[in-house]
Amino acid sequence: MIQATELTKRYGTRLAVDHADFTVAPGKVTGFLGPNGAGKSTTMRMILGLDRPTSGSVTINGVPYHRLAAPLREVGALLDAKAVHGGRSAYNHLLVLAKANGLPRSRVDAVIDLVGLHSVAGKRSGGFSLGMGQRLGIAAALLGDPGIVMFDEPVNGLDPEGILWIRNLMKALAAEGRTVFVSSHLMSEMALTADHLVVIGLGRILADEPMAEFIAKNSVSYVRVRSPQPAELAPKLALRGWRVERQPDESLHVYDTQPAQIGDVAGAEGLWLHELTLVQSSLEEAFMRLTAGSVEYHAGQSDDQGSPDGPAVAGWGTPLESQAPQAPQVEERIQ
Amino acid sequence: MAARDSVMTPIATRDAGTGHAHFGRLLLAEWTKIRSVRSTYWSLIALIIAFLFFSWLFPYLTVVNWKQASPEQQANLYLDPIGSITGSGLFIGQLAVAVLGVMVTASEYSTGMIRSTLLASPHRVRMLAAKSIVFTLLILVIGEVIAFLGFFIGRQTFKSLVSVDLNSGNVREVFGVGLYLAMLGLFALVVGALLRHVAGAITGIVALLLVISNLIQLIPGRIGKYLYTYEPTNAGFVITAKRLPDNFLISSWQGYGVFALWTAVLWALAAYLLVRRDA
Amino acid sequence: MTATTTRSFHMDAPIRRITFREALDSEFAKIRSVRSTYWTLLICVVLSVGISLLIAAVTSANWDTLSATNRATVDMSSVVAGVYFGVLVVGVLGVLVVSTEYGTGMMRTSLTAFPRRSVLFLAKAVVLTLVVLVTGIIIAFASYGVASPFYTKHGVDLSLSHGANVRALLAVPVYLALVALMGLALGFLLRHTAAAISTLVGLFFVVPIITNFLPGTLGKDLNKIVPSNAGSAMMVTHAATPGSTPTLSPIGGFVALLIWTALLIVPAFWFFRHRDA
Repeated sequence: MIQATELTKRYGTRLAVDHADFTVAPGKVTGFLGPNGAGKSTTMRMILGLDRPTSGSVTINGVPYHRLAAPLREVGALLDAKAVHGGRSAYNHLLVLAKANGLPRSRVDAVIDLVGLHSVAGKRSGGFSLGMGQRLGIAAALLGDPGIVMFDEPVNGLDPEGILWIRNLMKALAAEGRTVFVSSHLMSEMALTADHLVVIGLGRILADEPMAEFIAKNSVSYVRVRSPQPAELAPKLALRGWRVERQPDESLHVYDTQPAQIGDVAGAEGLWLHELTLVQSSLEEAFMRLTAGSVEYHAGQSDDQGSPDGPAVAGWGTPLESQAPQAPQVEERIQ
Repeated sequence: MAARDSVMTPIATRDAGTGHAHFGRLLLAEWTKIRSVRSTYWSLIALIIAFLFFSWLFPYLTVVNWKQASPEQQANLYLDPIGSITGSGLFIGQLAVAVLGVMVTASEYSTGMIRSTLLASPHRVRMLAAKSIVFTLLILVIGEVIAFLGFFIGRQTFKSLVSVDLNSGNVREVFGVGLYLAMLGLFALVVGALLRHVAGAITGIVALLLVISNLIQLIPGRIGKYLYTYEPTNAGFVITAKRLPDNFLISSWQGYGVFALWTAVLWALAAYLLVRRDA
Repeated sequence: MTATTTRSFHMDAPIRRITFREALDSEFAKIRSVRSTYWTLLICVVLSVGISLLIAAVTSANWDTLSATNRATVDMSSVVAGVYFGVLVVGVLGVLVVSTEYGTGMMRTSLTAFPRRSVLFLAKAVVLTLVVLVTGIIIAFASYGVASPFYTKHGVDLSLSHGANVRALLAVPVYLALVALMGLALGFLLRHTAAAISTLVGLFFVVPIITNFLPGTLGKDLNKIVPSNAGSAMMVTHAATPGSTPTLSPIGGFVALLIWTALLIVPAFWFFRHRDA
């Protein structure tokens, strides 16, 4: 259990984390979602006692991190996979950490096995690929069999196999009753792994709710219909009380209904259908709306101090486009 | 994708025919790198302040303590006034240049930046050449500027004891300050590229400048003189002085040539290893 | 590979509170698992002993040309004269022990594993001190072994039955350890390898030159207490000779060096405890 109360971090005049209140509960994967620069890493560093809160507090199982009897037995964290002395072998790196918490050597072997690094355990970690470095970081996080695990952007830069491995690992850890707290700037990634969502934008907690609730609240679904006779089909569907929007490409977006019902209507009227797809409108968009609001709010606030903090907006747009260059709007089919 | 790469990397594939344009971009890239790290500013500020301060301090203290000075010290001043002005500042300022030179190459290895650098300009020798040219010119320009500034400061301070005028006979000693610092900077840059380890390279250069160069004077006989004369930094330093040390075997310009030769040989070795070794 | 293997992975041992002991174990594992430790210590031994030998051989060869006053200054400090340069290398080791952790980000990982910062700081300092003390003892006795015959054949009394001679030899590891701690402190304060090494070099090789220039007694007094001269004074056994550069007494040198170390260690400790990692 991680509990943040009025957690605040100020760098000069910039509020990196602004009175954040949230709780991370055991037994599920809690996604910590926010654009780059929203304060995710700062919050995680404060949880681990690396950075000192300007005000407020954060506790692990009721105590501040530095008071934990043996931190690695209670919390495992992967903040930055590169935070390793490159001249030290993977085995020795883990041994150094194990000794710091009085853990036996057998734990080092156990985690090396778990993440599949035995073939390179004796090699200097400076030469590791990003994926291997990430595995080493996860091995370090699991060294003390902790009840709480924290991962900061764990899938960044990983290949598809590595991404899948981490997703499954996080789910398995949560299924064992552990608290799993994982940050990401990608809603699509969170949608696949997280059970609960804490959304942060410009240091403020914007949402703290179960994933299902977030989806229900924020996602809009519709059925995309393509027909050679859209002009005839549209009024028939509207008659049923469904909202129908005609798109420039002559397809129809039909809201408040299911594909089967639309198919039935078309069949009854003897109209042709070329496509009938349920589209879950992007959670990314919902998330962007949410955080964009915080950006505008912030900009209004800081008018008297000079120019508003822009990078959150700019930083946000870029990864989305590069993730899905051919379809700016991420779609997910639901069967 | 190819078009995108050409925007991001200093070498544009579509300009493959024009080698000159390539190298210009490489120079620009290295200049940007040097200009955008804090250690450059710290080291150069240390160099400038230390050099100018000592160019004033030593003459000032000499003037103040003139009556207590031994005849030998007094004679020294008249024999080599320019060396008296620039010598102490140079001795200390050279450390800043050495550290910075090492950082220019070795720090790329400690940060992993070298991999991006080599990706951006796969022609490694040209990359080293670009780094060398940019850095040497930077130090040369700053070195000459502070050399003359320091000289004028020191000359004003010395006025009551001795008047020093620049003429064709002694202007070499002032120019020598920038020449020595530039060559030392390049030498340090090469050592950084050879050792690829910031701490190791800095310690090595400092040991050479402060320890080894003096220590080999202890070795008796002709061997000692040879070792002393041909030690790279000793050989180079005489370009800034009027009088050669007693156990120095060659002329000022020859000494500077020896320093340049050392640097060139090590440069070639560094270039060879850069191509041969894995980044 | 499958994530479900974490099942077989549980630790049943009860949680024991981490203490100084664990920090010490961890720091010792750190220092012996990187190559730079071995390199710096090896170079330190070779440089110190080698230069001591060189100076001894040269002094011995030129013995006939030495003045009586110069001969009177030959003592145990001449036997271990190479240490003057060895300090630079252990200082670098002290810097590296800390600065590489900041440079790589390892410091955050270390603090996550051991968040009690004052204990971690102490453990780092103790491990470094022990390693350097052992190296210093090796340097002292190796230098004595290779260099002392060159002096004893000219009648210099270097017998270890004299307390002063033993004291001078044992000052070597102490001097080296204090300098290593100064390096460690600079690493914590500056968090940057090149900056910390440059500052150390400045303190040991540049400050003495500056104080040499200062006029009157102020320059002479300051020159006595700069770290390199304070440290060298610890190894002197002969009485001050008229006309020679004034130095501190061995105890005075030790105290001065302790104060220098404290001046760096205390702020380093304070900043380490209070700054964001």
